[in-house]
Amino acid sequence: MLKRFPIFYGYVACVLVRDVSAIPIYRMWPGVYGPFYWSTAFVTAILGYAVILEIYSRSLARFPGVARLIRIVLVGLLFLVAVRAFAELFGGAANPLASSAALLERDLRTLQAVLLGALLCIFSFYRIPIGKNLRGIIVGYTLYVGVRVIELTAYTQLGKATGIFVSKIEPMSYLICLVVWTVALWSRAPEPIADAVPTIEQDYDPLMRQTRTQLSRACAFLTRTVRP
Amino acid sequence: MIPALFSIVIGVLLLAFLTHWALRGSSSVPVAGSSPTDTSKALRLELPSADLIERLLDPRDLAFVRKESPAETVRLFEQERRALAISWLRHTRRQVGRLMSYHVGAVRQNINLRPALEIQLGLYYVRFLVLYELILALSYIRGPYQIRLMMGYVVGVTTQLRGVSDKLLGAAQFSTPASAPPPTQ
Repeated sequence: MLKRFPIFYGYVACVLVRDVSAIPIYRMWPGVYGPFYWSTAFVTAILGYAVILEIYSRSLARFPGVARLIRIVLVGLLFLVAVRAFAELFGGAANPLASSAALLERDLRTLQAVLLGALLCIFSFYRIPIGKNLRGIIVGYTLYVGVRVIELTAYTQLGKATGIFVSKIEPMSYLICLVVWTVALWSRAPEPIADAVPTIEQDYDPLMRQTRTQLSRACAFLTRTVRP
Repeated sequence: MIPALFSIVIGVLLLAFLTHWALRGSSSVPVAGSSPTDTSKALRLELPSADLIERLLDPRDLAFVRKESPAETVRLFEQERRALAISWLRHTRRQVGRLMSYHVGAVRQNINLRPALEIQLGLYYVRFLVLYELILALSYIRGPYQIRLMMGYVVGVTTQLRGVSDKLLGAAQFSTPASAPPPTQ
């Protein structure tokens, strides 16, 4: 399993080392705990992107066309985020990129949430078969990211009381996520069997040209139809 | 406040997507058949004709029944026409869903897949679904006679999709060795 999902296990190992070392730091040097927590949270958030990359490459290894589609969608999303970041940086915004570690992590996790959402949409639309192991990784990690985004937003922008209330959800979601990972990765599950390649594969280009023409005509027709 | 709202909406939407995806399980798409008959069956939209729908929801019928019959008969008439309209809508939805399932099954392993076109097709499909849900809801609430204009819109969409499927069908049959035209002498 380690060979199969090396990045994911690396991520889990990092989180484990971080959590284990955080306990003595919290007890012996409470003043250092804050900077330690936020700096390591930033590192694990960055590592999270590698996990998403592994999910992407593992799940779509047999679907090169859909993989290309997702690549374009993800690059497009990253471009939009970069544009936004530059606009904030050079537009004299009060919060260039992110002034604090929590805001920076929130932004990183929000982007991860968008990327994971795009992946899930495409998995769902193309009904990509996902094996039990990878499915567990996706469910656990997406759950964690979703809850983390809400928690960090509440913590940084909705006031201290709300932040404290929402932060109580994180340990629970983290525990659920660990249970999901443990169950899903307990044993090696076989990869789903690939379907037979359909006969119309060779003619994809002309088919899609015709489809595009028809859809354009359909759109023009619809606009005409709804006009009173 | 707006960035906060944006992030929270993203988080909640992600969890909703996750729930939907996880609960859906690994249901596989109907795989494109290898024989021309299978392909033909999968790509052909079997829909009632637009004329039939027009006739079915002709307001003159309703006017006639209202003029000639007691209120109870009018209510019964409206109920029946509403049931027919809803049944037609659901049939249309199933047919379009089947067509899209076939399309997805046929293109997802294709290296030549065109992302821009796929996104366009996906958006078009989403538009159809939104419209379908809207009309279905309105049919329940207001009855089919009140939304004839929108019904006409759906007929237009499905007619166009039918045209698309016919084009696909023609190309698919052509690509199958068994049905390919003989070489010219």
